[in-house]
Amino acid sequence: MPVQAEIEHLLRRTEFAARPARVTELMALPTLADAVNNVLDFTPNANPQLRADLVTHNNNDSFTQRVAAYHWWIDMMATRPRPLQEKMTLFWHGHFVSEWDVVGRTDQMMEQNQLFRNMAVGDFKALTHAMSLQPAMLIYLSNGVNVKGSPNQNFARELLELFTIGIGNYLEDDVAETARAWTGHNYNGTTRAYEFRTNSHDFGDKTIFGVRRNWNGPEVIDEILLNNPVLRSLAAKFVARKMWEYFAYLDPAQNIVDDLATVFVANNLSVLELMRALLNRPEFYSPSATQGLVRTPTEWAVALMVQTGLSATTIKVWDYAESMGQRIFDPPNVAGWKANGYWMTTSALSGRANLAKRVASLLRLNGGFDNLITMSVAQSVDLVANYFGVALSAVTRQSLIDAHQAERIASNGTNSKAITNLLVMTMLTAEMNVASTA
Amino acid sequence: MLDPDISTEDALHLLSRPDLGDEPTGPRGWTRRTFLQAIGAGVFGGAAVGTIAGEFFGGDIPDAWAGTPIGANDGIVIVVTLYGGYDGLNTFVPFGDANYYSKRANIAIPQNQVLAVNSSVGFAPQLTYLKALYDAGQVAAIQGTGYANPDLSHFTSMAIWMNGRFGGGPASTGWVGRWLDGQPASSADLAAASLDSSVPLHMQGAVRRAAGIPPNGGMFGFDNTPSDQRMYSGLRAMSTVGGGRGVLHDTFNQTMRRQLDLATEVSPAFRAALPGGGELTRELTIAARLINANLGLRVFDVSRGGFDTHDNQNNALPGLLVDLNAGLQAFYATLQPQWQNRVTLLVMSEFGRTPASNNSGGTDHGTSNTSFVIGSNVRGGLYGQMPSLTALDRNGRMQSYVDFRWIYGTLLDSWMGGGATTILNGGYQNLGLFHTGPGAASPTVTPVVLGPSVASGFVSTAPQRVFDTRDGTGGASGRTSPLQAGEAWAFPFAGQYGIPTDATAVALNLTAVDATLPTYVSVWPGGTLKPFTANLNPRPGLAVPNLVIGQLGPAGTLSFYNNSGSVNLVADIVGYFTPSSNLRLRALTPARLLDTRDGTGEVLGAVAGGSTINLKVTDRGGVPANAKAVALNVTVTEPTSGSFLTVFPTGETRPLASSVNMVPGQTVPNMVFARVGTDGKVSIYNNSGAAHVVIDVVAAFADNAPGRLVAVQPARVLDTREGIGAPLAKLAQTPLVVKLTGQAGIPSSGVSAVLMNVTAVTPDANTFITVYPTGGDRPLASNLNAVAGQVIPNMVLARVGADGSVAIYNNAGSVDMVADVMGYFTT
Repeated sequence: MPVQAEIEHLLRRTEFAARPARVTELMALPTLADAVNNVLDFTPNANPQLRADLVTHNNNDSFTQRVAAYHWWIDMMATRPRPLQEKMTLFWHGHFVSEWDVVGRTDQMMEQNQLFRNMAVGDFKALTHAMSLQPAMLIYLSNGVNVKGSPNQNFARELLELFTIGIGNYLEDDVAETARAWTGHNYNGTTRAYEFRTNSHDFGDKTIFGVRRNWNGPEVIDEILLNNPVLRSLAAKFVARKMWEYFAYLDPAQNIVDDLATVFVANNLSVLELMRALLNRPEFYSPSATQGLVRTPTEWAVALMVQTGLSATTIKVWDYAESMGQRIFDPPNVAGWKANGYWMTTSALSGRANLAKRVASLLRLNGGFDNLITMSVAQSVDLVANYFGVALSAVTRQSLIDAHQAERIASNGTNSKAITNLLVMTMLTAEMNVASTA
Repeated sequence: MLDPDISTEDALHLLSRPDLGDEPTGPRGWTRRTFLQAIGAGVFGGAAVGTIAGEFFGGDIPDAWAGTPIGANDGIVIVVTLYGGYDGLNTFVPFGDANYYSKRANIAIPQNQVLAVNSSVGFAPQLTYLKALYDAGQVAAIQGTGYANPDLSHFTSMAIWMNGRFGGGPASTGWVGRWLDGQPASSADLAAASLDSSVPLHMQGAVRRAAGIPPNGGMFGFDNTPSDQRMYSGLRAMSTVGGGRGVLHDTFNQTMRRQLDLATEVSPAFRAALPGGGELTRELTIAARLINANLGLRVFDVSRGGFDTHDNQNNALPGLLVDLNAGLQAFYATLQPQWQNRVTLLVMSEFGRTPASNNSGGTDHGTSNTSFVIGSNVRGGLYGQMPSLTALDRNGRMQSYVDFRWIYGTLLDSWMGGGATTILNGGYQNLGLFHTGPGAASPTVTPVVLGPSVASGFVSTAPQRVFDTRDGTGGASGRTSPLQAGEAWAFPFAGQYGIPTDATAVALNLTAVDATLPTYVSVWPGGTLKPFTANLNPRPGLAVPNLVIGQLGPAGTLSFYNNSGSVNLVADIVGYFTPSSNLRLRALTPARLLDTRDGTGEVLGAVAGGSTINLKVTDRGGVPANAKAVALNVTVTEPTSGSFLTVFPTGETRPLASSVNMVPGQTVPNMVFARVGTDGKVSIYNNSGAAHVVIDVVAAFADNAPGRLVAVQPARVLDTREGIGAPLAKLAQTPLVVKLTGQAGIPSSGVSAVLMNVTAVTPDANTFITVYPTGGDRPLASNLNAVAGQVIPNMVLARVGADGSVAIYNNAGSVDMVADVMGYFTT
């Protein structure tokens, strides 16, 4: 029988929150490894498809589509039976970045989103190939207009620096020559589709990674992820480290990265097997991991949605996203989002606090939580903490009791604000925002 | 890859890649291991969180962020960070270098659009205010800024710029942050702020970092009921206790506490509405308010992304530069005067762009760039050296001549109180960017440029003389001497002559007399920067009138400038514009109401000296019955002697005022705003001799007509002598199309007619000029009657065509044309 604290941590990291029903379900399995297999089995999600009204671009209403897409995806995170598929979709969105602001097309952003969903734990090489020719990426990193004679380096540089092997492992000349190799892999603005234009492709010889020949763009991906064992190892470590930092904590020991990369390579860059190895590492359950990541604004909002049952459109999460520092579909730049300290600024916490006030006001509609007043102060605090799935430390619990007691006295019988304040404060505990356990 | 908004740990986190065992040499010539060691103290991306975050958020920071007022000689710095690498070559344009046009033919800015500061370089056309600041001697343009062995990655290069240490790492801190570390504890708490949801690397020190202030307002903590106050107290108490849950837990709590402190401090800056427009305009306005509030903040970071213009650059960069320009203007308009000589701004980016454009109409990552340091105590001018566009490095990038850290060093030692050598980890070359230190008398005056006025209706008055520099008319503000060459003189209008204090603009008939040399006279909002425009072109022996619609300056004044010789000015007010008036403009197709040569208007024969004729104007030529005033183009032809006409409301006493001045034998037009008198008539008086009079109506003012005036800072939109707005060529008989909307303060849509002063410059034959909307037939009307060899202006109320343009037709010979806009009427 697994350890409950480990199951809860596994669920918080892979499914945004430890839903009680899921805890019960996984605790019934023989081992932790079985629980890992369970969270990785997306069968119950039944191949989720895009919502019909988000498949095509509506030029007259694209902003509405954009907000709807944002809320739809957040709702998917909060409601799928196996939310890890959405969490991995978000990982790839932060890895193979495109910004809606730049691409400006509902159809292409959502097609990319669905690509990440379909291949969430698939073959990394196949995903890299697919995303490189997908229109959102062609537009975002300018390869759509990369032509012979005047190569545009935007995509070539990020393919090496951010998508596969990382800075320091290639030369500036590799970027220039890779850009030439990708010429002609363009975007047709009429058909709004990828198109290879023979006339725009540079068929001359290029020297990439020390090899001079007539490289074609996709062959550079194959060279890195298949043919060249040194580069493939670099890429495997690059991705393994990023995944570890996404799920566990920053700056893992090198042996963890090396071990995971070995598994990744041995399984032909299967992300599923990389994930399975990652979630079975004992370090993933260590205090470094359980206290090692701040919930991103999106993860925090999704956790609140899971706990309260409120939908994204009800909360209007979009309205708070930018001020909290993260609006999905609009990463800050091609490198995606960062972690921890990135989220803990005075201005970003102001955004979270404002969203907490919004959630509290929704919960208080129609007399919600009025019954707290019939309970003792301590019972009220514990009930609210449990409601939000927060494991309070003793000192935080005492602070909430003191504050709630003081407000009950100050409000002198009109306890409405006392309850609202308790809800807001609980959402703003460090325990809720770091998702930490003792 | 657009809109890179590198913040906090971006670069660091990216660079904190696994040590991959081998030691390839990185782009900076450092080995990977050296570099990883160098950044090993990375805030959150580097070493173990437990130790580093603890060091970062050391326990010595007091809980309360009490602002300490700034000392009288403490300098303030605004870092304007433009993410993505702005294209310095299309921002500060080396138009004198032919290679500029050959290497980037598809995106080069034509020379005639550049706001030149000398014969070889100048600002992009959007940067009018920055150019004005430059002209006022307050901008140091530092060309060829960069560093050795430049890196072409956004992240690495921005980390290098933000870090600002000689010799590289540790890149866990930035140059402002290390300055912050050195401030006394009492003043360091709220000494720096980033107007962003994140705090960028340069604003982070080893033990302190800048506050993050959300630029969109609505900060948690602004609400202030007693219950809210108690919740804030509860949150403070809750976040003060430890939880035994690790350093992230503690950091979250401390940040929550600071958020509450900060909200209390900065809330006043958000009470008044913030301007629309771009992020820089908004953020620079907030920064100015926070400076005015004297909270102790001495460094601000404001930023905007989107400068990574790999393709279609000319669609993207101009709008960004508009925001930069408007932001600087808004900043100085908001900043209270006592702070003017204590603020310096630095405009920076991670790199410049390639001299050659690509086939996508964009430019790729470059190296060397032009940086700008701006402020009233800055010793303005050119610094550094413009790099060659052809002698490039092996990657096709330009050379650098000024290390960016020299700018930091100069700012730190000459403006921020010293410590540069320590903060930058080495000696630097002081660039001598400042006349004097902070708080010392500023040798220059920061120019004020008004934005467009509030949309206003017209109030028509009987003509009234408000000043005459020959005899002192004008009360306490009048004068009895002509304006001398180069003299600017301001006269107050608001609050006098029945003009209310909320008037946005006045309509004057301005006449120049006694000119001793051919000259020009400019009129513009008092207290603002003189534009390069003209309203009158007087010459000796001729009294020259013209209608002037002048936007009033902040103190309700208009400024008048005479360029050469001396000249007397006489002003007759005919009305004013105010938001509270409902009298609005209906632009008309010009229609002839009077021609004494053929009896149109039921007056046949020249108007004799000393006589007055009455002309029905309502219900004619499209003028509605309820019109209270009309805009008339009044032309005098075949006058027998020097004289003047006065146009005034029928039934009222004829005022001492002139509407058109005439010279024997010469045809002279003038735009006249005339109040309608009894029976829908206006009266026209001729002082002496006899003259034929031709009157075309071009617009009417009536209650609830559509057009309200938005007055703008006068701006030149056409000058065929300079290639402004049209090719460098005289106008023959092919109409010249000039686009008026979308520039010079005139919006792209919602414009019914543009008010502009049109001048015909030295035609080679006697001719007339007609200005009419594009897309229609040329009407049989004239706006100007130009005499060979003379310079003749007239106010034109020009309706624009569907494309926002007008056509200008010259009837004979060839002529140079100039047009200055003064405002527009809404639809």
